[in-house]
Amino acid sequence: MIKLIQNEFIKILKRRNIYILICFIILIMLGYNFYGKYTNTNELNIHEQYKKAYHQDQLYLETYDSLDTKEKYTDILERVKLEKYAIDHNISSNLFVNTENKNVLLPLDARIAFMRVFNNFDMLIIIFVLYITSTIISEEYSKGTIKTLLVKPHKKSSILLAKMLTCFFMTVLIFLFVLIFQYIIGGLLFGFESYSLEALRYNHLSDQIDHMPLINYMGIMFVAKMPLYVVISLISLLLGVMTNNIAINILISFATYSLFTTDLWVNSIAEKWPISNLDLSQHLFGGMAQASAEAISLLVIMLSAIIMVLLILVIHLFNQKEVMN
Amino acid sequence: MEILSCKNLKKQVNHKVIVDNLSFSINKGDVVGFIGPNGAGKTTTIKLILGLIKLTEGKVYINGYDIEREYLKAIEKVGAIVETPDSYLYLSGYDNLKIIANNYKNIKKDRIDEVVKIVGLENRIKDEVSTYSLGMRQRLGIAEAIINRPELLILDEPTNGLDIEGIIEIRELIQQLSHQGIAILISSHNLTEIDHLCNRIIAIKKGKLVTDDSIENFKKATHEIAYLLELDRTNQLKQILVEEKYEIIDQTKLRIYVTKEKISSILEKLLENHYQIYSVQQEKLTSEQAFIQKVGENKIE
Repeated sequence: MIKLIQNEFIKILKRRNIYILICFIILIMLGYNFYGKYTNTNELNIHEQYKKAYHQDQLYLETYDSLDTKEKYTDILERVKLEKYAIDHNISSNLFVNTENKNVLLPLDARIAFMRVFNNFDMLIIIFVLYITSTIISEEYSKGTIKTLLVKPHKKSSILLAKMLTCFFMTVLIFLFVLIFQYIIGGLLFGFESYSLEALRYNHLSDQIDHMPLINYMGIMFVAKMPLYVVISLISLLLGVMTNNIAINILISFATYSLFTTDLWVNSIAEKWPISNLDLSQHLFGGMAQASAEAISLLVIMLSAIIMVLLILVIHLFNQKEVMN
Repeated sequence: MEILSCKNLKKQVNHKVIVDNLSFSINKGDVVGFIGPNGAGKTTTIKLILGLIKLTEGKVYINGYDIEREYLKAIEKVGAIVETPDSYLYLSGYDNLKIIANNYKNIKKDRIDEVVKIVGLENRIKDEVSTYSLGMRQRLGIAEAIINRPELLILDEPTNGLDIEGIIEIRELIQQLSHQGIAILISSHNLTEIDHLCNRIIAIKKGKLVTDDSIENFKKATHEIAYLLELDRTNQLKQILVEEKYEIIDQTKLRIYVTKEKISSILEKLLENHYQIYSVQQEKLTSEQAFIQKVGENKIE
């Protein structure tokens, strides 16, 4: 199995497109950080900014029903609670991870840029992952190399498992790469000192501010993101077994990803059925304010069931698939 | 010693029977030419042997192991190129071989170097396969197929698309391998190649076995001889030579496969139909001619 995985890594890591994608990710991340650095104002009085933001957002919250706004009530509520916490505890750093008040300027620092990795660069990671999952099976069939692979003393299921594990490891690796790169670039541009501060998030379920070491927060978010990535990867692998068309594969997988994570769902259907948002990280800290703790448990069960069904389908179809070309 | 045994192979896709009750076996040291017109079912048979497609009926045994039930043991000592040598074009030849070697236990760097030397790719093995000529890709494909020291080597159209120089190189390579006692099954359209390389011929048509014999017997199997006729024209022969097997070489030349007892009546028929006969020449059958006489012309079925 290890040698099969090693083979898959050789095949992936020797592709030029992988490095083009990584360069693209680096460029976007550099752009975001340099833009943050360029637009940061050093003379900014953060306490005044928090007070200003708090008054604005409180008024905004009180008159929410009469406003014609697309902004979610829960987002404004989250801001108000964080602003209040910052004022009460005399905090002089940016606390906004999920939401920002566009009327006030809070400076970007390394810690907040690091915490926002999951919001800001999610799409880049999914594009990278989908490039691998959509090609790892279908390209073997379309280019005929599957024949060389199958006429070897390995069970078909072992070959498939090696491919799946490679996809999983590559997902973890790209995640780690993005995290480490953001840690370094954020530290270099904004200073490493803010990393020693705790991560703060407003918890909608307990109506309290949760705080924890930054590393713990990043770990929790990383783990919470993975099930959705596994689901999307399995959908892409399934499509890879069913069709050799890589473009269709990426399109459908990406559409599925968007469908189950977009705000569109959150605002409409998800109000009645919060578990329709499969991104577990969005449910943490009561992020989907409509969802109860039970709904999160239900989502975990549902995600596990979806993963199992997809796994069975991929294995079954791969084992049944004949090499026609 | 029997290396490959195919028993009553059948492959049916929807209602079309592609391989029909096909049985043959290959022994150690056999170099078998597997021939048949386009669409006869050669590649499908090879895929059935290798377990790349599922059998509708029948059994394949390699080294006594059932390909369906004991796939890993059956396939362990098999090397194959199916249709085209499919390597990863963006990798170097060496990386391709390394990937193949990783699929087997105890294949070390020395063996990779050894097969590179056998196929004569020492100078280009570190280059990307996309820069290789077709002949070099075929040689790399053969290197990949023999890296595990196979007891059965299956080569599907190994000289397809090669220039004359490439064909000679691959032919020499196969001859070299056959001397090592490997059982080789070569599917080919090129019957001259089969003539040069093989000691046995298995011919199929419409998925059915037509011949399974030594090359010599294959040629002798018929008492008919080929006659080369030079005529004033070769058009409209269909109406005259209804039952006879023949091939039109050009506008004035015709090769006809009949017994010597029948040739006079054929000449009479041609004369009756106002054909001018300029010459009649008796020919010894090549395996290609024997094939056409036995299996028919190379039409897609």
